[in-house]
Amino acid sequence: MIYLLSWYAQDFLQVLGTGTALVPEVFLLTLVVLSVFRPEKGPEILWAAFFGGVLWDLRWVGFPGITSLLYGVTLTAVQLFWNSLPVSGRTVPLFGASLLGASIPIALTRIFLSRYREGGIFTAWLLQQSYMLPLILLACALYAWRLKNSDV
Amino acid sequence: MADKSPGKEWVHGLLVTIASLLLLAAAPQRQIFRGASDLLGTILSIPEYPAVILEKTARETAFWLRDRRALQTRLEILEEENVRLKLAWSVGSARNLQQDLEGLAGYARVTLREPLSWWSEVRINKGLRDGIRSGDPVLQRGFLAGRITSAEAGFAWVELITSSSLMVPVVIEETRDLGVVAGDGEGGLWLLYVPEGRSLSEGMTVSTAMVSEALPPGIKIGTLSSETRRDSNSYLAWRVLPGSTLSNLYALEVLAGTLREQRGGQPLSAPRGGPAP
Repeated sequence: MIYLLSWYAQDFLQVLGTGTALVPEVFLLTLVVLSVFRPEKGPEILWAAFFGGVLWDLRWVGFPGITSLLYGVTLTAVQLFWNSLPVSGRTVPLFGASLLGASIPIALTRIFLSRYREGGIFTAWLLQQSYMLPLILLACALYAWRLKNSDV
Repeated sequence: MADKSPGKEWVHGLLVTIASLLLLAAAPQRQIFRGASDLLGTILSIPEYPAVILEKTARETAFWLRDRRALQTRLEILEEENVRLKLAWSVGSARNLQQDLEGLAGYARVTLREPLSWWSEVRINKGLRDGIRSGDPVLQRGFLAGRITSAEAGFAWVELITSSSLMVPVVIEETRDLGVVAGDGEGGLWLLYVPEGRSLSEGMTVSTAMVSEALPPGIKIGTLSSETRRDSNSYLAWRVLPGSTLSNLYALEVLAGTLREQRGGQPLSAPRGGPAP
């Protein structure tokens, strides 16, 4: 259900901001957060990313495979990286950095595939990151709260 | 926090990557995905409807605001243009009035009337070159409005009858009573030195008297009003309503040369050009 909701949220924002701005990658961020919070659901999350990416490509990109590939590769990398860390090393700043790092490849790809490449790539990317920053901070707060509760 | 998971991620990740690459390889064959894309668009049009409405409303609001701003700017430009046009019209109207006044034979245009001496003096645009001399009477609509006090080549100063320093000997035509008319410096005109008990009444005509060399006799000044005031024990002052309209003073008629003619024994010339009331 959460996969559908996050995908719909991103789709809703895409309709709202059609032609004006790059939408924040709500779906990908949700999957990354889920990968950290529920590592046992890693394979399910990967396939959700694949199908979500395909749907996105069919709906908006018109070139199936690009988004699903980026989502899949990014999530696999994040899961491998996060699971390779010792439990004591899984800090809040590292969690935030993982979220930010996961959003960069897909954001850059969208910028290069869109008309933004002709003017102000950096501006378009900064704008998208400014939308995503509150979401990342919210996820970090959630992760910190979860860490605190699990320690108790 | 959970410990390390079993480590199947890379296998699934590899499968996802391979599936995506296969899709990418088939992507150029657009007809394969067109149906799926259309179907997805149709299905999603329902949940996306609120977003479409919101986006449309926001766009229309932005357009409306932009149009309103454009209209506001246009309105400001038109208002500025209107002010400029009004100013141009006023200047043109004033020029026309000036030309009309200067075209009237025998009339002098008022060129200066200072607020501080509003009821005392005005400057006119005719002077010695036009035969005007100090002491000449000045009329408006056939009624005495003042006297020339000084004249230069191209202009002259007129002391108005409402000035407190100009005193004019007058006669009440109906009773032949003599008196003096003087202004109060505030637009009022008073008949002085008439003994109490004389049978004066409202509406009687006041004219210049033949007891002065300064002004020729018989020039109408105005009429008596009913308002009186007591100046001393045995004299009443009567308010005089001037025939000349000093609040609407644009042009004046100067009886130039009347005193010289009078002194030289010549008959008194009639006022030139000015319309009698």
